[in-house]
Amino acid sequence: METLPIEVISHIMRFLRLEDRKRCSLVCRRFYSSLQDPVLYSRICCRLGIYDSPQRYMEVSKFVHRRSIRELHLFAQPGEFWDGRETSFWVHISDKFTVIDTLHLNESASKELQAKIISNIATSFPSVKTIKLNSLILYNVRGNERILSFLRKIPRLILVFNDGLLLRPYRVNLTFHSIVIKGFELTDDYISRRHKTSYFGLRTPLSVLTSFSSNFDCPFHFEELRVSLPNFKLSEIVAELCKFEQVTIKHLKVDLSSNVTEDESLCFYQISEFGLDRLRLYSPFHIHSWFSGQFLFTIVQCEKLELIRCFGKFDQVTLFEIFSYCPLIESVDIGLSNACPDLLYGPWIEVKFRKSPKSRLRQLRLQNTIECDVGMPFLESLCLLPFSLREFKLWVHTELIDPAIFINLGDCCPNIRSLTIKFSHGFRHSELLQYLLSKLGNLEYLSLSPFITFTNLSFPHLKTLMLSQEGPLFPDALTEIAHSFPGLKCLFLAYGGNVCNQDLRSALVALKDLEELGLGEVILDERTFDILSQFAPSLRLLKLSRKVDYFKRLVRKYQDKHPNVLVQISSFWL
Amino acid sequence: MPNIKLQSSDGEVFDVDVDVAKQSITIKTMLEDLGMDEDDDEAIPLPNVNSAILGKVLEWCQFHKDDPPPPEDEENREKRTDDLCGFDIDFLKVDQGTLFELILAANYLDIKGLLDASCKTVANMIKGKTPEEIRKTFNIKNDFTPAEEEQVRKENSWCEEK
Repeated sequence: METLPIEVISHIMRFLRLEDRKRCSLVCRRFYSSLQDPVLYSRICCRLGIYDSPQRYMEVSKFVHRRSIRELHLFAQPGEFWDGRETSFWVHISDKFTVIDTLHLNESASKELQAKIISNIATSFPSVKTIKLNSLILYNVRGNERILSFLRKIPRLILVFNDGLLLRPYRVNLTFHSIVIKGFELTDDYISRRHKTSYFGLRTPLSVLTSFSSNFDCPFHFEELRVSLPNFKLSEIVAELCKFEQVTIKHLKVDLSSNVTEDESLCFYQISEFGLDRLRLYSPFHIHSWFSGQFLFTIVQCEKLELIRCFGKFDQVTLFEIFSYCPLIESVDIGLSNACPDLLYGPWIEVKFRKSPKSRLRQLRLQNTIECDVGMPFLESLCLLPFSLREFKLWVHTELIDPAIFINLGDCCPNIRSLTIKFSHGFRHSELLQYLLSKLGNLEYLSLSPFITFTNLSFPHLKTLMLSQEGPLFPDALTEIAHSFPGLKCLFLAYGGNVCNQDLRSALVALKDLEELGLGEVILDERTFDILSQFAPSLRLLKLSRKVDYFKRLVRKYQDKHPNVLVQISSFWL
Repeated sequence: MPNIKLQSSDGEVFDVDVDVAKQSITIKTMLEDLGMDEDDDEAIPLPNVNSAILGKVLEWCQFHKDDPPPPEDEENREKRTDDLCGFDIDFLKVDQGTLFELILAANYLDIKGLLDASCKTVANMIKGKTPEEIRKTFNIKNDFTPAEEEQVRKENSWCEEK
């Protein structure tokens, strides 16, 4: 490390996030100097409280001077007091900042104080080019002509609505460069929830959007927009969004409760224009092949898309085509509640991965939650998985598995860190699964159901192991785990079937061994927890799975509605 | 394919495909600026790189010769360190001394792809570690006075990611 010139160390620092850079700055003087490179501060902003002491303002101003930090975030902490002395220090750094962000001021600053802050910014920062204005502050300075005339001179005035709290757009006679809405959830009861504050006088949830699109004619940017309106059609929602002068949506999540009909197909073209990074679409109904076509078209247009999460009856052609056209996709999470047996699967995925050998796909989760017999072709099509894959989850309710999947996965994706494989029925391909596992030396997380033997396998980096099955698991398995995975931090066990006391005793011995080897916790399903904790009240490791609580609540909810149905939680689900 | 000759600091001469060698901007500029003829029998001297490292660098260049040119750095994009290809991961599984020598060579020869890949490897060794762990990993001595350390801590509290 001493041989490397400072500028090369700076280059290394460029690959680290601020948290890591901060830790590096404390290592030694050379590291600290390497962090003075102005390039490293392009994504960094300075954080200054309006209540900080004059001395601190002085220090910060020196700090900012030496680096090229252009953005200042003002924040307020409750209970402190701002006396105005700091403005004299702002003068030292006022020409440094071109961006001022007031988003963190709303929490505690009073109406008067907010007006005072903006007024101080106006006098102290003549060179500021961009102000991100918290919508609440704007509300509090309305009528203050001096401040408004200052704001009018700012070239990029960005109005930010922080937490989905949309105020009635009042006229302030300001022109905004753009409006950013951080997170906004539009649900059926939106109006009734907000009714007490009576901001709107709006008739339907969608008119919340109309009130904005008709009052502002600048571009709108939604960081996250969640729409859950069962009484509206997808096309109606999209049409409303298209009324904006210009709208971009980073993360769109739509819950559909009815079929999308063929005459709505246009809306998919429109969705593709929103510049999505992430799309989550939930649909309970069958999505017809024409829909898939349109949907596919949409996805293909979304070049920036990084994540797609769909639950619905999509057919596989659509899903696999998605990969072929979206090179940035990193995560695919698909719940197939049914599959279309009349479609061809195989060639599609093959096309995809041949087309983009540099695929960035890192996460692939496939679940087929309804029992059907199309498992084979579905899995067959997974024969060419990308090298980049880090996480793979396969959860199917079928025993019709093409065993080739295990070989392919092992041969194509040696970098997998997290693997989940769950089958509900009798599983007959233990050797192949073992072959797969023997190829994945980098595993950090492994979840298996049913359980197979770990003889001759070694995972030096394995931190978490989840095992569940509907049959006896103890005790040999545990003894084997204790020997094979010395680095294990968390063990999860869910188990069905009977065990004899003899077995339990040996299981406990194994667990004690694991504890000594550094195992942090053993998370158990309810039944296993009851049995084991009876035998070993002193074993601190044992913990009840939080999922048990979650499922219990679900069951209770269900049984309130259907008192005659008996519901049991299978350990398979835990 | 025309070849050129490269001479390492310890005098070994490497006969290399021009396109492979031209991934080094330093060599590329030398060839262009100095008008070195490709048929020239004279070897280009590389006084800052020894034969062992030059051999490795050329192995890397050989594997990556068909790569598209690396994209321009976008300062505002977060830099990833987990996108190394399998070849690079294995290629850079070397002892620290060799890794740093590779970085120095890539820096001197101006091979962006190799410089980035090797720096990412070092960055991955740093990630998530405490200052003390970093010192231990790279055998670095803490040369701060307690007062200086306190000052750095203070400065760190003033900035955050946008």
